[in-house]
Amino acid sequence: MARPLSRLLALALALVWAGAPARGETVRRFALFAGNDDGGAGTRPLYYAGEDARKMHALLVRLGGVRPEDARLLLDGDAAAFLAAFDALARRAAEARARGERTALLVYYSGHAEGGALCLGESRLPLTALEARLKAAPADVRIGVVDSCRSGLATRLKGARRAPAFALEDGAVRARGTVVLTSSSANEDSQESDHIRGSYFTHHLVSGLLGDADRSGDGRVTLSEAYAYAYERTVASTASTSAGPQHPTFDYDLAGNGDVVLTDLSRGRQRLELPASAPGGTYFLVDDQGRVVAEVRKGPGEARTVALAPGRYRVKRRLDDRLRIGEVNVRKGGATVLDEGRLSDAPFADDPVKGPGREGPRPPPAFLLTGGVQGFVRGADLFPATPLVGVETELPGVFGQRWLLGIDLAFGGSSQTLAVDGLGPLPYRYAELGVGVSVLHLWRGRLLSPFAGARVGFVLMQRRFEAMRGLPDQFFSTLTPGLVVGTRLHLTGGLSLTVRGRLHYLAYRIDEDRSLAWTEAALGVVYEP
Amino acid sequence: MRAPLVLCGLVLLAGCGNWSNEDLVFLAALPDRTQLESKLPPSGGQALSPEPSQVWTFTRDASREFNGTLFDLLDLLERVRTLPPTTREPDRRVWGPWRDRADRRFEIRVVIARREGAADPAAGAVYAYAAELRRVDGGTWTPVIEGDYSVTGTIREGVGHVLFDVDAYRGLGRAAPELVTLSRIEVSYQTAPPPIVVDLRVVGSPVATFDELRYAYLEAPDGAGAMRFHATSDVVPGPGIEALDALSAWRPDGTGRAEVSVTGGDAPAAGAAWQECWDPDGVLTFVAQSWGVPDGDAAACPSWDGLPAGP
Repeated sequence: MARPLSRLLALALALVWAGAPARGETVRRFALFAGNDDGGAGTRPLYYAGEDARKMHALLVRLGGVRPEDARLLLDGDAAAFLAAFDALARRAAEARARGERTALLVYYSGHAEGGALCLGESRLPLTALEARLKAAPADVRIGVVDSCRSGLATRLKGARRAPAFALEDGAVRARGTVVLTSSSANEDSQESDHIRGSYFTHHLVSGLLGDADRSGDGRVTLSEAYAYAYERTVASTASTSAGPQHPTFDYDLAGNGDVVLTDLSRGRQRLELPASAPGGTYFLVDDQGRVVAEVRKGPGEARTVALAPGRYRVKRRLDDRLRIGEVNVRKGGATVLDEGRLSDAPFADDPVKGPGREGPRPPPAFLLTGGVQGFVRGADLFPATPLVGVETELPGVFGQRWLLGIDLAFGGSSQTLAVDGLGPLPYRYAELGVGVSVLHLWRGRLLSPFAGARVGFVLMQRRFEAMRGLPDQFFSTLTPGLVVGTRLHLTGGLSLTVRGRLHYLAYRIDEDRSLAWTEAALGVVYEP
Repeated sequence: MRAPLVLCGLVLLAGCGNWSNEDLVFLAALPDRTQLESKLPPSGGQALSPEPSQVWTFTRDASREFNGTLFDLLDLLERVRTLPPTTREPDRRVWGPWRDRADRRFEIRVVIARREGAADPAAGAVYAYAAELRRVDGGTWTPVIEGDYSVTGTIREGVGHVLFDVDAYRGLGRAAPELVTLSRIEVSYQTAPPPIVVDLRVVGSPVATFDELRYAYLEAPDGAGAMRFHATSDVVPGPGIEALDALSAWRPDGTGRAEVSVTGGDAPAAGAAWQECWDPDGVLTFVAQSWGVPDGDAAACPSWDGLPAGP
């Protein structure tokens, strides 16, 4: 009698085994991610809307259960392309639904919005039209995420709420309906940040979906968890910006119970763990492109987990008077634990949250006043030692955060006597003008900051024989490459002293070919605003 | 596109300059007009009577002619001071050739060559220089200005000669109406040991009204000076050719005297002579003419013994 039952049980188990999707996942997901930096005439180009869409696309494909063939990334497309992509996904969702699958359709947009419409280049897509299409889409759960200025217009008519935690019970995922999240209220701007290289709302939404929003600790980040997290962090991040605080909104029209799981951290088989023993604070995780991939707020004694993609990341934690920075290597398929002991103190100037692409306001240039002496190591018979005074400016961050681009101008002169066989001693006046460009690497320290680099200069020299008529002025000019070493001694405020040495090559090619070398030693005052 | 940029970078890296120190040595061998020009005392003679001193006027005019001719002669050589040499060799510098702007049929070059003192190995170097012309359509280089300079001390101390061969210049087919009366201009000069002595000789062409003009100038280290002028020309109406000689000399304080004489040709058998003396302020103190009554105080005239002997 047990045999038929055992065979039936085995069959059920096999069916479960064969057909069981990932933990908690019974939904076929379709997603459109659209980003457009260009909002058309009358708008200023955005910098990170496309990047935001890429982040969301990569994240939800990796952790959100969206199959690559069910995801569409649309960058800089117009309204027609947007709707075409939407319709294509909607058809696929309809086909899946017809096969008996539960379906979810997510539409994400980052870009300009104006007058109640999304601005995709010169084309417009009214929010009401988008909402109508979303609601009519043949999917069980429809989620719209709009990251744009005054996007709260999309939820305003429904009585949009700002406060987080729409109370959905955990349980069987049987919710049906439409949810719309917006990055700001109907009368607020949605802001980008050069520091994080993205919009605040999407940045925090992504950070939350990577795991920092998993307050329940079950390894899944639900829609309500993600929104609550993004709301709180967005308000906090924008509280002190010039545009003012930004309040995300949501509108939901869901029937049934159960929250919608957006990301399942177990899908990413590697993760970074911030152990409970690590100090509390906000951790920024920066990839090798300088992008902030996650911002994790960790309380003291609290452990956090971030489902990062494998790779090397720089970790930053900001303290009142310094940074703690270090590197971690998230190994594929495993858990990497952040070791606080591998972080080191660094000045704010060494913030790793910088990299290629548009930066926030660079540190202002520094200004120098220098005085020194130049002498020829080879060629002293041709050119005299000369005192020089100069002015310089140094531009930080042009080639990276520890590199300076220096531009200098110096002039000097002296009265000398020329001894040439057959001429006798000839008094003359010597003048020199030099300009140069340097690329210097600066190692910032608390008291001393040594630097070293290369310089290319152009020098113009003149010799005038005032005591002997009939002899013309001598001129000589040339490019002269060289090396620079020195150090700064920090005084107070933005003032430092600098000591510098240069060694340069100079080719002399008038009546004979000679390779010359000159050195310069200089002292100066540096002012860094 | 990349190759020209690289080439420009290499050119800039190699340096751009005009004169080397050695170039200056060659340039210093060329005569400098400030060394050779006649420098008269600042004040001119004033007449005892309202008329100006004719001899002093003559001396001044002669000085101007002397300097003008000298400067014109040196002008071409002066041009090389504005441009670095085209070709450099250990003991030779060449400027040009360039197309002559005054006559595009010709090219010009200036050459300065140096050799150590051949006659006296202990002496300084000897510099020989020449300004040469040749026809663009073929021809040999013809020197029109030649010179040499022997260094006796530093480069500015020595003995030199300059010749402007006007006949050779015209012989090339050059039109030079301002030179039609000239055949040669020769300058000899000595800058060391002192005094500075400059001797200018102008040989007239067959169409000139003179056979020869000579200007000579002397400058002593203390500022005393003298100028001698000689002309062989028809200065007295008549068929004969007379010799005109003038000698002016002055002390450092300006006191001086002058004598002019005309002899030979249609001049009186005893010749005609004219003397003037002046004081430090240039006021005439004595005038005497061979055909008239002396005027002034002959005792006020400085003795020739106390004046430069004249070049």
